[in-house]
Amino acid sequence: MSSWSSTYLIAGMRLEIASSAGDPTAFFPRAMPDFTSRESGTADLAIFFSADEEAQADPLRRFFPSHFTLEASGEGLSFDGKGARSKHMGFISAGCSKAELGLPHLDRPWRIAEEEEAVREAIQAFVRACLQCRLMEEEGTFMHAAGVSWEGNGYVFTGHTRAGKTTLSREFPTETVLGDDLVVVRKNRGGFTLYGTPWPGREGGTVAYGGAPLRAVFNLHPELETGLYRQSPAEALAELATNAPRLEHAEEESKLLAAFSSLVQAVPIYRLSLRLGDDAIPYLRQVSSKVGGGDREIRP
Amino acid sequence: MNKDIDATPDLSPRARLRRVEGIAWRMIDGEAVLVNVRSDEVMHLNPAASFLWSSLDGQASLEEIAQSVTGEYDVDLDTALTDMVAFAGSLVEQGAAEIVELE
Repeated sequence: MSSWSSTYLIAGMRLEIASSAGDPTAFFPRAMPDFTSRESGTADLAIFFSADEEAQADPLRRFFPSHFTLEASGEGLSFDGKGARSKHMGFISAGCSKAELGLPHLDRPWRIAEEEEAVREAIQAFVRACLQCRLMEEEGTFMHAAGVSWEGNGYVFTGHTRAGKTTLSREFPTETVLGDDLVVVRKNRGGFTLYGTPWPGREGGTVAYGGAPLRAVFNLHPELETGLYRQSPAEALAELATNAPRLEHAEEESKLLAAFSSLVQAVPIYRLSLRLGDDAIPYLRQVSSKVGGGDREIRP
Repeated sequence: MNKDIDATPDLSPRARLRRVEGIAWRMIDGEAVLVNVRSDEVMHLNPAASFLWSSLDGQASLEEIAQSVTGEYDVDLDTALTDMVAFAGSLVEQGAAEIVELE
């Protein structure tokens, strides 16, 4: 029986969360209330947190795992914790419209702080996994990237670890930053939309509710000579796939490749190299003035 | 299927190969991008290699695929076949393709 419920709007998806394990809001990202939906409608995704007595009853399982995997199970996906022993923790239905996660009672005192933190990681990892699963059904995906809404257009800055995503996002006025670490790109009728998510990066911490039509994606390459280069769709697809976290299943990877494939054919993708302190805005002006982008080498 | 091959196999032109399950791939503008889930590798193939990859259905031999390549690209049969055999061997070595018939 559900004792708590709330509805959120993340990346245009209505996410209903209900819980019989107590109020989970303290375990959500700090910005989650900004994503609360106040309009009624049909849920795109319904998540249920069920009370799992075993989670606290067995002393050997008092620590929740901190690493999680999705395994194909029946018609859906099994969300399993990995640690000293594997633990089945949750389930995502086929089509990713319903999901359930077993949790200890959230309103009881924690025996040690690490246990509370482990449960927080499990809840957030599960919600992100459910959303990613649902987004991929509609050619959308999370991206480990910074995203800004600048002069009405959305721009994504992505790249390998330490490529400068978070640093670059700090060069923009705070009110233009939709996210400094984790954003969503999602297909719509005319192209793609960039959305902020409640999850900030460890270093930055800037997130915002909102979205903007996606105008360009920049793959950051600080190691290369300063400049901008438009990538071919296949080149861009390979780079986006390389930088994405592995999904461990070919079927899920195929859905992610399909989403990225649509993205690189609908939105121009550039390789951008900047030095610390360089201004990215001239490059944004340059690409926003191009329709289709004919030149491969572009200099502001 | 020969499961004993774990080094670069000595493939003959008559060998037949197929793509293994566990490889996600997508073709854009005639170029294939492969994600090997098990090895965590992403490969971006050139057009000729992409042609070979998409032809690895376990039915056509490397020789037959090479002949088709000469019809699609400006390359002679000997060069195409040499390149196909070498690249097919590297695909097997990387666990992206498996041998259905060695010759």
